[in-house]
Amino acid sequence: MSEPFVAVKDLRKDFNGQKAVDGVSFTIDKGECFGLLGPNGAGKTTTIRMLATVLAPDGGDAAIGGFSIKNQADKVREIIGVCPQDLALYEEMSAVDNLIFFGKMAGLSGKEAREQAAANLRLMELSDRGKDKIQKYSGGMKRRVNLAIALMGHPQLLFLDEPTVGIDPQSRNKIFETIQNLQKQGITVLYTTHYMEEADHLCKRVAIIDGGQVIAMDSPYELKKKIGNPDTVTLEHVFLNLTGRSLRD
Amino acid sequence: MKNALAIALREIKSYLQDRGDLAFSLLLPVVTFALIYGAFGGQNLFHGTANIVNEDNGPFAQSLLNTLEHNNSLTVKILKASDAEAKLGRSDIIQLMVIPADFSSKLAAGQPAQITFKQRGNGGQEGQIVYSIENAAISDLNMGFQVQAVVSQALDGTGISTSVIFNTVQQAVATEKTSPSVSIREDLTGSLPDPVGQFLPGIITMYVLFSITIGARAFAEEKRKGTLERLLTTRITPGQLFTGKFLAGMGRGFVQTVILLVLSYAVFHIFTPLSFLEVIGLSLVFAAAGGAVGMLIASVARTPDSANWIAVFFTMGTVMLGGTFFTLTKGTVIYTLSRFSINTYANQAFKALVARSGSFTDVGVPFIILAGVTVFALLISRRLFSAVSGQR
Amino acid sequence: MKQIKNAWYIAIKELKIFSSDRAALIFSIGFPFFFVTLFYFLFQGAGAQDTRLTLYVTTQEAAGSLSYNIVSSLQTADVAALQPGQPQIIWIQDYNDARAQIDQKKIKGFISFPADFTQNVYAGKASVLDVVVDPANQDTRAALDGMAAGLSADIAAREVEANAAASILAQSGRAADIPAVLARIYAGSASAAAGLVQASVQQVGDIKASNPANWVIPGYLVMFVFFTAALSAERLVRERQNQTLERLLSSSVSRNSILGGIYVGTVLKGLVQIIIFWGVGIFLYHLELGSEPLVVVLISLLVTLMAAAFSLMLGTLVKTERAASSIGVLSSLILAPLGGCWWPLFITPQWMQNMALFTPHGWATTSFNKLLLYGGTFHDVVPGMLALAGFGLAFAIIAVARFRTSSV
Repeated sequence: MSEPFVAVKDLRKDFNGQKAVDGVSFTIDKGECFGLLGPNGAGKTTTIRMLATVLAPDGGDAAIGGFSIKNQADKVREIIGVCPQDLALYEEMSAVDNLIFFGKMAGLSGKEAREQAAANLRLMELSDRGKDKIQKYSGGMKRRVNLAIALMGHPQLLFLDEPTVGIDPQSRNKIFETIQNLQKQGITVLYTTHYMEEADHLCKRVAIIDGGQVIAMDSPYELKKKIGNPDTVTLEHVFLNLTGRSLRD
Repeated sequence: MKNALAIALREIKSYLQDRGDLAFSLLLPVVTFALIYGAFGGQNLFHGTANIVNEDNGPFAQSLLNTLEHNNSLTVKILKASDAEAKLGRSDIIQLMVIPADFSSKLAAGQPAQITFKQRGNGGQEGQIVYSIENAAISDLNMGFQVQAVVSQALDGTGISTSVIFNTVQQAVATEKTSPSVSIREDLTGSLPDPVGQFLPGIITMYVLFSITIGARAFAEEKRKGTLERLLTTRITPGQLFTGKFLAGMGRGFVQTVILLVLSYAVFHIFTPLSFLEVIGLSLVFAAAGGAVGMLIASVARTPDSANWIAVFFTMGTVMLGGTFFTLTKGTVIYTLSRFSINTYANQAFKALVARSGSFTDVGVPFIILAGVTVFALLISRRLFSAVSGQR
Repeated sequence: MKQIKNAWYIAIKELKIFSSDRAALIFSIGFPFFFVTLFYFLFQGAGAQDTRLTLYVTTQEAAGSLSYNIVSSLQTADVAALQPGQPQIIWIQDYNDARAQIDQKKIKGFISFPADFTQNVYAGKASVLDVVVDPANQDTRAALDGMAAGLSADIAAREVEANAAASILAQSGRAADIPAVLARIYAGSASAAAGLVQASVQQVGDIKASNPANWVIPGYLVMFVFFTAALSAERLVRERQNQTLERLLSSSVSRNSILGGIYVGTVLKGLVQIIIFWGVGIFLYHLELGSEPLVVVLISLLVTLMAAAFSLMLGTLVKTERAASSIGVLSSLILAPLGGCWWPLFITPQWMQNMALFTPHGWATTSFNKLLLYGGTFHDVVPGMLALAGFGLAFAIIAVARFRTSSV
């Protein structure tokens, strides 16, 4: 059995005494699409930020592609791509300029960055609008550019933090297709979402986080089976069953 | 009207609750005024530069320079001859005093020595004053020689030895310098400039205008984010929204002015109860004028950034021309331009009420002009106002 | 090397955004030239005024008194005969009339000999010269004080002569000769030349009107370089909030590269501004860079570096875009007039010039004035350069200490 591509062990993070992540552990195999689900404030984004080496963990460690996020953060960054929940774009610049800029930041040469930018725009079907400023884009187009930027530098692991929030079905579908194609190319994906059907559809396994801890982890099918008939029970039922119906924030 | 007031009150409440915003909008004028008050210190003295070429470096030249350096109205600048000539040629300096190389040796030998003043034209205002101070120092230096010569001549033929004459004269001159027989007494006829009356109104109006017009940016931001549009989906009409926003800007400016005036009263005791009420009335009108201009900027601007820049342009112009830091001379072009600044009228009126203990009837014209600006700006901005991009 | 390259890419990105934003370009470059042009034309001919000082004297004594004779000899009989720079002296016959003229703001002040002047002088007692002046008129006050000082020295000399002669004669046992000798001294028949030190005035030409561009353009350059930089803080806050900075961090760009890149980007914007300001100033407004143009460039660079550091500091200290915008605008609008950007400091009272030294703008404009208007050299502006560097360093230290890439 091969080593998992991502191995998270007992990750912890406190903010002013409040435990945001409290001993999260999971593994992700190479080429797998792994879902991270949880209510608002459960610790999903904090977990992703620690794995993306943006936030230093207070405890535990994780290895991505064999590199420790604590001690080999530089190496980790060379093989990851992040598509954050907020649209982290330069709205005053065009899509192609955004892609080229982030490509250079990812270590590509000018020529490589330009070529990849063109390819990613084609992938997202934005080639004819590539030179327009982002501020003129619709919400769906902005989300697609956001994902295109995460792909610059050919990352081996993609963090997709709610990539389909607030967009139309066509854009959403495009993003799903892209993720599935990426998986076929062997890219590992860590996916967070509030849309349970997305996780059900895309993810081989999901971990449900609540209160900073993993409360369930298995394939969507197995999780549904634990509640009832997997053909009628939805992942949403599982989620609500495990996390409860009370509001969190 | 109820809805409009509700919008206005919400914003004023938000301003009063935002400690950072409140502190900043109150602290900054206080600090500015404190700096001006401290630096000004009630004293308004001349200070000029004495440009001097000293080719001598002997004791008499040094004595002259010491006298000038001890004069608080002068900064003595020693220049090289070539530099000085070049600067004089370029008009970089317009007045220069040259002490020649044989100055001290000639005087020591009892011979006349010449100091040359080189200047362009009359030397300019500062140059003429510096010249008079330098001349007084020369007269001071000359006293010893003059007295020596006059006394020697007067005692000529008496057989009294020159050394006795010299020693006595030196003693007399030294006594004169320590206790002058003719002293200068200043009789200052008018009142010393009052920094409170002179600067306080201008600083208050300047900062209030800043706050109101920069608030136009926030308005444009709300338009961009869609929160104004959201308000229109409730029962509020565009007219009520407009009125509410105007009252909010005016209210914020008024509250800021009142707080600053109360602080001024507490520290400087510059009001009577009646004059304080009159000033409050004036503040209301000024805040209304500022608020109306803020609405005009918000209505014209398409983006928050352009609202920012228009507000900057407007406030720069009005403060520059408004007589905040000094009075403009009548008859000049700038004075004419200043008639277009609302700060001019506000400052005039505040100064009349604060510094000159005037009454409301004394400020009728500025009051009417400010009210007129308010109405005019509101009419235009109402016409241009839209809470929703692309819609009237 | 990689980190330097990343910082450079970030800087170029900043410059690209700036140069493609038409509104920002208009406001940070075009708009200041509106004010430059306005004041350029308004102040044409300024500094060429060379009006001769007019000073007033009066006496409270009657004809025949010492002061009456002095005032009579002082008053200007023929203005045309006056030497360059010599004031015109006008005798106001009635003391009360002179005071009334001050109250009516017809004159600003005068010198007066009091009613007991002659009596005190002849009695060997201390006497005074009154300088009656409205204290708001500092120049008139200084001019009258200067003239009074000269007069008092001349009059005192006569007293000293008399006292010295009398003392010598008394000591020599020739007290009987004192009255005759004193009479000679007071009559002036014993007068020698008026001292050994003589002053002559040499006029080397008329006052040349200065080119207003020489102080208008530097003032607005300082203001708008600072202003543009201060508003850049808003962008920094926005990037922090929308996680663009964090995104850069996860792309193996170091915190220092981000900080350095943003700083250099802001400096580059400032450089674009100063090149345009000086270029347009020289070619369109005939601005002269003085005798040390390289030092002018150095000061301009220091202004840019300081402003960029301020921008970074502001962006790290505030939490919201709105706060960044408000503080950026307010600080720029306050520091500009206090620092001599809107009008030259040399026309302001000394207290205002002192206050300007609390601002980086004041040091910058004073340095530019020294170089462009007063023929200053490198040595003259070293304090200004050190002050600008000090301000920039202080801002930079705070920025580096407080810089964070996320809102959390």
